[in-house]
Amino acid sequence: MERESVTPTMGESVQAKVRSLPLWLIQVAVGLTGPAVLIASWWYLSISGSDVRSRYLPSPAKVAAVFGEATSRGLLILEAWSTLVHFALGFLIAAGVGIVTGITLARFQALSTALHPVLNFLRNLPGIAVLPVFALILGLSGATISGVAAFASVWFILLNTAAGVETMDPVTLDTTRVFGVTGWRRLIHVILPSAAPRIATGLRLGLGIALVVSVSSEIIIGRSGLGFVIAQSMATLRPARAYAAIIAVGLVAWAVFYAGEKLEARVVPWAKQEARGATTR
Amino acid sequence: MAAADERPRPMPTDTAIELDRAGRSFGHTVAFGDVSFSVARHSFVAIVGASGSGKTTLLRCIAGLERLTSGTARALGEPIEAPSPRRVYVFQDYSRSLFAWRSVIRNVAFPLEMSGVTKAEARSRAMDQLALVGLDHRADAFPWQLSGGMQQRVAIARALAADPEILLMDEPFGAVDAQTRMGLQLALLDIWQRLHKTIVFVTHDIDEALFLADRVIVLNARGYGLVLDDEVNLPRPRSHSETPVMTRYGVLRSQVLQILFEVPVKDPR
Repeated sequence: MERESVTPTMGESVQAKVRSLPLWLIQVAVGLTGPAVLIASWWYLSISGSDVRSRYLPSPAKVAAVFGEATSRGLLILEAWSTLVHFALGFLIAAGVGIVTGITLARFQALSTALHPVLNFLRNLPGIAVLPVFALILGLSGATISGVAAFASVWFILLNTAAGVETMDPVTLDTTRVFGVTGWRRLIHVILPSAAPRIATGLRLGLGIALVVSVSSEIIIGRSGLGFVIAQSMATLRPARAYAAIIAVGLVAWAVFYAGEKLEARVVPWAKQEARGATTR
Repeated sequence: MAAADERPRPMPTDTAIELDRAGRSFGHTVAFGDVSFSVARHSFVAIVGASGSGKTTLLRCIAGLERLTSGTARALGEPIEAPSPRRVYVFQDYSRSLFAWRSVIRNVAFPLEMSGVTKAEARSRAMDQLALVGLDHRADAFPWQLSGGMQQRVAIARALAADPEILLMDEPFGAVDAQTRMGLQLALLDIWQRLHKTIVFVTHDIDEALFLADRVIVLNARGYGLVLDDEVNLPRPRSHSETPVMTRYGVLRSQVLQILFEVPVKDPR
């Protein structure tokens, strides 16, 4: 059957050929219609309007040409790397601080109760609002961008970690007691893995926020990074370059989330199972 | 049963557990009270009682997971103050008791790893326990990939890996279907006879208690004391086709049922 679908004979009707196409090919074809329609509309809008419009909406061909050129000259790759460094530093700081503080908070109930209103306030505060404060302290630098990204994302990681530790299953804890496991060994072998799915949720949220805040900060104060390229290109009336950078930001974000998803499935394979168990229980 | 003595005295080594007027209250709510009995080593004792009669709390106190509020409890000659790997508790809710982040073999190896055995050694000893419950072929699966009956087998293998003297089992087969339950009961009897453990088994199922145990204890549903403590005296090995049709089985069964349902019901008409 499959061999036939790969090498159809000449005499077959078109309908039979379509039916014998592999399913994945049909799925890819259908999946491509969305982007195709989008690019076609973009193209139509960019050439149908006045000269004014083409100034802020260059044609896809022009953007593609600029993207290709900037990439081959290494510019976009260099700036994408810069964005990645800004984001990764901020996110890793947030992850480290958030997980350690979250566990500590969960172990000291009084501390947790005392800090909860503050933490909730900080979690809801749009992190980008503190950019000027960080800029004042750390200057118009990459450190400021990473710092604001860390500040904006740390609360989600911290609160989810604390919640994961606080809502430990009592049966799991009793099991640990039965086998006489206490202290550090309990923390490492039972509490952390048990809270890991919830920590992963916090990290996923933090990842998105750190990325948004990194690029926003680059747009506002950056001297490097894709956000900086977007802002600078628009300021110097080179919209095609800005669009190329926007597409690059999208690609970086997609790569980061894809890597995060793969890492989560590898490190906490039981998280998905627990999410499914929660709905049936 | 021997009368209670005020002073603790050395317990004969053939006694695994001894409760003397033991009680546990939560504020004004009495879980159980004035419970005295002893369990001989290597014997299989079933504790039966209506739900709310405090049998799980009693078992948790024997495990050391909870403290008595009155009376004394001793295990293997020592007062029970905290959990000990010599008295391992098997929970009814196996899916929450097993560690989702560890494979089957690593769940079973957990008590060994925690007691300082090297990983390789722990793995090989855990494999022996898994073979004992017939699950060595699923060693590298995760618990949540197994059926309920298999998961409880893993939990039993993990309990055995700690090499306890006493197994405390809280309605371990309460959450599996009837057929699986019969298989688990036979597997447990087989393990018990091979390894000479002492087993205290809590259940609300009279048939399960009579099928498994040497002795059946019925707790008073109103919270104080025992209403029955009787030898089962049914020949071993037991079988699901023969044991329940024996005369002694029927007599015991109706005796326990009468006790459990003796609460007079007023006729509304």
